[in-house]
Amino acid sequence: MTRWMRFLPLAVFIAIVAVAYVMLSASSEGTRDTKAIGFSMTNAPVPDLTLPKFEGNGTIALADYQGKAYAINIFASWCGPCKLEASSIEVMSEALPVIGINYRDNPEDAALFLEQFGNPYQALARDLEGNYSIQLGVHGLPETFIIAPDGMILHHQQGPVFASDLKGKLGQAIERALGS
Amino acid sequence: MSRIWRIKIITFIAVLMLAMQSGSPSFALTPEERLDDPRLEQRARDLSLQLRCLVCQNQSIDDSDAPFAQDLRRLIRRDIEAGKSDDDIIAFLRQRYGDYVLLNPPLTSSTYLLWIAPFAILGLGIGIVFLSRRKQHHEDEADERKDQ
Repeated sequence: MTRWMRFLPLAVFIAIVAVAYVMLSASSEGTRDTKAIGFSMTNAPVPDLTLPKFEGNGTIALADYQGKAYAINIFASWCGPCKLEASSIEVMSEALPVIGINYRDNPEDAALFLEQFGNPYQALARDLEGNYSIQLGVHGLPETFIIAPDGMILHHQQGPVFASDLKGKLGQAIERALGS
Repeated sequence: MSRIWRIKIITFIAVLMLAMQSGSPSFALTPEERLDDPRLEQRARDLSLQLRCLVCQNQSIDDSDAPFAQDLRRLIRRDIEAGKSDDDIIAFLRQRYGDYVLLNPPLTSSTYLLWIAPFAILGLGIGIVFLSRRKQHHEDEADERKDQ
């Protein structure tokens, strides 16, 4: 007993370090997957939102899209990564309609952004105070949602969409949405 | 520096720290955000203090002036005015942002280590001290017997 007692504090320390290492490495795997940090709207039904149109006085109701596959992309002109993903959103819009939600932005700056980086959106809404985006669980821009015809969110991506994402989980979700 | 001055400075710092800790007003909250009814406003403040600003470094939404925190503060006040309960508001936010939105995470399978580890380590420490003391005691007794 006396011999192993001498090594007990060291053994405990090694055990704590090992457990911490295993838990930390597990949580850092695939950080682009929002489920890894415990929150994501994936597999939740899309909220029944009616948003004001980016231009004019009309509204855009997500309920009108029920029965077809579509995507929602939250962006702003002040968001650097939104510029990086512009070309990928353009490619994505060739596969399925994309609804753009312009988040807490100056309308003139947003219009300039769309002029500069292109407007891939079939419908464009504005969320001046972030009220609608919270319903979607948005907390950092850009964020993209792939919605199945039955209204379920098949994929929720936080961060920019790159060409590699279109071939990865996001691309697979688009295929599933179009196939269902 | 004289001893009296040193005591005065230490007392001043201690009082300042206590004042900062207890019921400090939120500097992030703008006057337009506040509710007219002080009771409802207090409920909103209490809720805001429990919720994490997800885009900040371990700050509550009550403390943060990030636009996201402001959005959540407004949502909470709107919901309170609409008659929603605290539990309803928390459930809505947990559904969207998970347990991570709570500054005080609940005891679940993924957080049990976080809650249990300090007690387990304390228990182990006490165990090690107890065993080594006992061993020392036995050795002392053996030495005494040898001397006799």
